[in-house]
Amino acid sequence: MKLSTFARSVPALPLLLLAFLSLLLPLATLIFVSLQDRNGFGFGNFAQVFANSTDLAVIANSLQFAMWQTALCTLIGTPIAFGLLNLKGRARGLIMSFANVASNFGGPGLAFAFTLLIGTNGVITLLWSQIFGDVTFPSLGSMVGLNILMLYVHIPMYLMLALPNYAVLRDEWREAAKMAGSGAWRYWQKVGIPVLAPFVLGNSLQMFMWSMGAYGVPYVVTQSPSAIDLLSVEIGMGLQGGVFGLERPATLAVLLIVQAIALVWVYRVLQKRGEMIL
Amino acid sequence: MTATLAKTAALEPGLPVGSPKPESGASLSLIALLAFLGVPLVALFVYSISRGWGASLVPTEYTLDYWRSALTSSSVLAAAGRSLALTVIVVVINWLLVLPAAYVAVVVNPKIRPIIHALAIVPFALPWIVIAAGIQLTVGEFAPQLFATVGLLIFTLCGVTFPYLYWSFSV
Repeated sequence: MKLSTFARSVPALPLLLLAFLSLLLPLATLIFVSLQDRNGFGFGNFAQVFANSTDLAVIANSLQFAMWQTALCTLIGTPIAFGLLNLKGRARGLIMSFANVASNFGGPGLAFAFTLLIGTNGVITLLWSQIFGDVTFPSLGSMVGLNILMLYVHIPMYLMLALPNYAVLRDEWREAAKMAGSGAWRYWQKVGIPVLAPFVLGNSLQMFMWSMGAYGVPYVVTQSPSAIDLLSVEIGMGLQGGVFGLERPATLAVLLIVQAIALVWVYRVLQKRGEMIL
Repeated sequence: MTATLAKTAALEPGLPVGSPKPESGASLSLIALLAFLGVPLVALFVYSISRGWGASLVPTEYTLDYWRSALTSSSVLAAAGRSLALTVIVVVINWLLVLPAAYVAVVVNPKIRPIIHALAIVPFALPWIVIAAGIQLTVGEFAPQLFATVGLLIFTLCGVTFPYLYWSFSV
């Protein structure tokens, strides 16, 4: 006798259980905790966060950081991606493997490596002060320093996202445009950019989401009082401290959840549009 | 596809090439990429074999002492062993859970595909610190005795890493 579809779906249950317990239930708890304030159930915690200038500054820092990362990754990553596509398969594979290894070298190790380069006594900091004198090199925990540091992780990630996308431009299209008497600029204006735009925007959104959540490396380098505070680091500190209760970190975390849901939705729309063009 | 592209470019140097930047600009950007990714690794390695690299451009003295002491330190070796064991356990559990689920989603019951897809997006869209915060609050609420246990660590890591394996089947 044939088993029912439900019975034969049982092997999927353990994974569903894991995902439910490790992802959905914790998110539900966060939302539940964030909605509990002194007066019972409500948006009091959110009102408190938005009335607090420190919290607002932290949110602004994270937004600014994520926008910088997104813009820099797109601007720097795009020419590199085209350079990689022009390479032969094997050379491209080698560089991508190296980039893959590099992007996995995150966390404290990366922060330490960059301390040796652009920390207070770093090689580049010393060279810089010999050349420019009094104009000091931005510190690791500053907006500029943090951006340099995180590009190390995010540029390879951007390349991994973007390479398959940029490869969708077919040679025939360019040849057809050329036969019709179009120059390179016109080809990009009428074909290349319109086709790639949804993908490039989608990749930018993904970089934005990852930058908003960057935690390990920023945690290590933003411990000094002069360093900037990021939302993700603030959540981690709040969890460890727990002095002011867990409502505040939970509320900040829920703000990131709302942000992620909104961006995933936009990402989906963009992806569908990109697939429609192809 | 790229091979044809390079060939046409070589044969007809005067004609417009697909890339928006000249070739030299593209290869320059690749060299910059390799330097950016390579220099921190080199700096780290040089520091590991130098003695007292303070406020100078290059180390004044080199030594293998730190490598020797690290590789013979029992606490370092134990920590490395724990990390390795943890990784192997997480990978094995992920295989055991993801493989049957992916099989069911593709062959048996495609109706559960959207559910698994939606769950497998969560760790890509949400910062892991948010997921960790949620797990900490949940455990604190329902099972505080699990705090700071290896089991909870393995469970959490499986939760955020299973999508990598799941997507690699690209179902």
